[in-house]
Amino acid sequence: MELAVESLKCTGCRICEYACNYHHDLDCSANGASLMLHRTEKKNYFGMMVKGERNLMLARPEGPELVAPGAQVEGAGASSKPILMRAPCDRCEGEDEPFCVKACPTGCLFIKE
Amino acid sequence: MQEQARRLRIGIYAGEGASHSWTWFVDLLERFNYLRIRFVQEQDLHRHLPDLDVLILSGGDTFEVARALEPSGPQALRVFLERGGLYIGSCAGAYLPLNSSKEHLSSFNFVRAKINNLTRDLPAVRALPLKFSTRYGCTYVIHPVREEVVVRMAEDFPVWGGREVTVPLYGGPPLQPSEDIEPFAFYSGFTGRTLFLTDPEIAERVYLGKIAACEKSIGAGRMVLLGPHFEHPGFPEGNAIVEEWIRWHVARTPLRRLPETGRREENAEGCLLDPLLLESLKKEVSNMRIRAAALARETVYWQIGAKVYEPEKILHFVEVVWSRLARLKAQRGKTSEPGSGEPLKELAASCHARLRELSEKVSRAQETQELAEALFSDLRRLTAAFLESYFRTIARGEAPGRREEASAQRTMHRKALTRR
Amino acid sequence: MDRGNVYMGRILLVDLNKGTCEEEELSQDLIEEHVGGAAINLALYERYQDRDPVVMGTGLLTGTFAPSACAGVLTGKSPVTGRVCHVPLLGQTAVELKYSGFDFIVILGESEKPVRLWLHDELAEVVGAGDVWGKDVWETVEKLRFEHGDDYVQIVCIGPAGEKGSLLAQVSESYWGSRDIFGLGASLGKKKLKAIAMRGLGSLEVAEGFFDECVQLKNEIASGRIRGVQGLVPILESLGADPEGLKAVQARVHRNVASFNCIYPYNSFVMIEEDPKLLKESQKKEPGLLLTDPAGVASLLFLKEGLPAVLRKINRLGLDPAACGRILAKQGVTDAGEAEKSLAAFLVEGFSLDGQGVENVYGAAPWPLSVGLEARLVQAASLFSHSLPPQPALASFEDFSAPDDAAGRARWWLERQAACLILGICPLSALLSPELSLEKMAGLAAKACQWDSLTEDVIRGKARQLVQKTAALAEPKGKLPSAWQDPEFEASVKGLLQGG
Repeated sequence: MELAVESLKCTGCRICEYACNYHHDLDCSANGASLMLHRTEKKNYFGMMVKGERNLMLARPEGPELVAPGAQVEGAGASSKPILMRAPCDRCEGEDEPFCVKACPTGCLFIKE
Repeated sequence: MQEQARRLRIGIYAGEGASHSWTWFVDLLERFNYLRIRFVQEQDLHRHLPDLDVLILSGGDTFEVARALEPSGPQALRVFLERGGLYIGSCAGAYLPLNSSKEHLSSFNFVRAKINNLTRDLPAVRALPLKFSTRYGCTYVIHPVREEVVVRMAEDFPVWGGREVTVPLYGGPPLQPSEDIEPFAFYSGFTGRTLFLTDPEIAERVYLGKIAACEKSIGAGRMVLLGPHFEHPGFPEGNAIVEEWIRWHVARTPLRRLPETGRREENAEGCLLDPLLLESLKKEVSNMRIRAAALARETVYWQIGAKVYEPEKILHFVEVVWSRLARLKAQRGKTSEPGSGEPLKELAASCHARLRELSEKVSRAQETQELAEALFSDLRRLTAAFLESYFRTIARGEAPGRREEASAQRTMHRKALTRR
Repeated sequence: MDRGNVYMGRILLVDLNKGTCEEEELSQDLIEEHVGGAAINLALYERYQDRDPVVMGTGLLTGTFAPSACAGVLTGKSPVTGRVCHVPLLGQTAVELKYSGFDFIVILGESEKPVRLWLHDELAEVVGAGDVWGKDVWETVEKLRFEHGDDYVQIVCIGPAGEKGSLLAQVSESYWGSRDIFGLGASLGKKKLKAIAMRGLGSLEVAEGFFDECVQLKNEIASGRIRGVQGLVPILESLGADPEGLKAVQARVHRNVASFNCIYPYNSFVMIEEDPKLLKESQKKEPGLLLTDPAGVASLLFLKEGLPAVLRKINRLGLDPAACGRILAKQGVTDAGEAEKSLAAFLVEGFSLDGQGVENVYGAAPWPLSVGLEARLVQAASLFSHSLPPQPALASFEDFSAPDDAAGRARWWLERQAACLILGICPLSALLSPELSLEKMAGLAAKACQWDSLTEDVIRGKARQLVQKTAALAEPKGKLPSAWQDPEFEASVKGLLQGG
């Protein structure tokens, strides 16, 4: 089960970031969200980045891409501890519906089995 | 006795080889109101130890730490322990004092106990191959699990005796029983959030029943070795166990009040409440924070030593500083000794300049390896230097520290395990 | 009332003569009396009137979970109309302002040398702007984002038009212009304030149950009148804009973009030198532009395929597109290349619609599409920008249960604009969605900060007061279009503004 994005439906309103942060930190801000809007404003190129437990999912308009942080660095070693700035998406465990899905005005976010 | 414990002079190693988990100890100690904290770089450990009651060494690169602390570190550490000092080592800090014949590590042979995760034949990896093993001569140190593990505290451990708690493991050691150590926590199980990097049967053999935390008495002092990161901010029970252990040490150790060296360090690094210094630092660090947060949206990584560093790590250090800096309120009438605030200001400015160069190069897709290495080293030193000044300020009661306020509680609520 | 759920609690006073900043508390009293946004802007404007202030403010709900809560307001005396006016800020700038730690900025006096403001983490700095003075809007945005290392830095700035004091000068939010048709760009230019850059990493508390209530209203709006519709073109289509011109625009539309927390994405990105169907990131440096200005786009439709390139130039120069469109049309320009060249002449001090012999509403460009009496009345009021439609779009007056008569409808529009600009709800979104009722907005406002006595009636009252007080501050200079110059019409406008 993971969060998925229908990227062409996204309008870049960013309320999902604030909703996600609300789940993690109980306040209204975008700092601690598990998802972030990537945007090159001048080119109108934008899409969500979702921090998963093991991967970063880039919901590019042309199709999703999974990035495994650090995997491309050869020989990288053991025992790197996690950074805690943004928690990974936990699909809002304990809530009736993920907050980002709830808040999204276009329905571009959903949970995929 | 709580009062006595709070007067402990605690040193945290923030020098070469240290990663970022030492900042977790800072949060822990501040929350429990242990405010007499100093930050030790590799070159001055031996100078600081005579004035410390506790030395904490958290995670990082064990080999690098050993190398950096030579030649005077090992002997200074022995003297410190002999006279009643407490050493708390977690993860890399737990590996460091274990007997070894390897270069640099062999200077730190304090504990005979053997690790139970050493093997000649590498088992098949199921996940995160890069985090599974490290070469150790012609053998491998393996890490069959990461993330959550369950440990059972020994019956005779105060308050927590007999209880099982969940704590996070990121490569720390399971130890075999040994005559020279007293075990106080055993790996007793895994949870739904435990990440298995190999066959669970292997994980069980390596960890279950083995020692997760122990003590060794040396002279009047002791070493406390923690395999998992009991200090991790997402695990309040682990944190409480660390604090309990400190108090237990004080209860058992005649706290010989060593003569204070008498060094007047009141304003050695500027008064943080000086409006000019505070404003200048806030501007610099806030600008860094913004730049670091933007960089954290880039998918770029650096390999430094044997570890992978992500941009989020830059933001981590900046936030450790910012979260405290932002809450300090300037006080009119507080001025620094002339020139005394300059080192901290300069350190912040040079860190910022490096960060700026790094982010500009990243935006141009240019090579940044060396720059990143220098920056992370700078960040460590800036964070330590700031915290040094910060704790001096709050220990004097001139500004409030971070106790259990609403926002800190919220942060605890949300600091769920992150998995990478 | 829990102020911390909606405001940071800080007013910034910027004294440009001295180059210094001072902070003032946003007091409970001020909030209780004026609620927020344009109303607090006005109170601050009056307090510092002798320093010719321009006030940038956030609404009560700006930056919260309330649907379409993106709006901020710029308040100042328009050098074009002579009236004190309220210009909505509908990009991300108001949200960023609040989260940077400041609810209101009062810009006082004039600087001797070009300066800019940098607001971040509750810190405010007046910085020399010698490095960006003279640069166009796009260059300025880029330079400042690079300077601060973050593309999410929001910028309110002026281009060469504002620097030169052209009365067609428009304040710009990021690259894409703004709703300023009242020459506030020239006001900032006179003050030598090139830009206000902001980055907000702060946070607001959230009242229990507020999030869910916002989601509920969002669902009603999303499944309501705007369901299945997107972009700027349908809005203009519903208002009777030239179908051929719209077709040319729609053919170049890439993707539609919504402002912060807006349900309807009314901004449309059009590709100029790039395939509109391209999904990957374009390799071109500047492949197109974002259309954000209903009046501006409608005024330029006569350029057909040439519209985007010309509008891009207009945005870069920091000019009001609606006014430019009027002048270009009068000059008989039909070619994009010709149009771009003509624009250079608009960049002189005092350049105006009047000076070009173009009909105007007290100096400002009229709404470019044909409209009924009510829409002419609100334009003549000249208090709120009519670069937004002076009537509902997509939906009708009936859908909104607005009064049947012209005066009633005009009052309805003014009140709705005022209420939105006090609460920080996007006034354009409020012209599209009948579901976004004043009752619901008030309910959310009350819930957000646990202010039980903040009812729909109270907000309606504050809205009316805002209209009356703003109008009373200064009479418009200039004239109405000849067809509007009629004693009955002028009496109706007066009546509107006096609360009749």
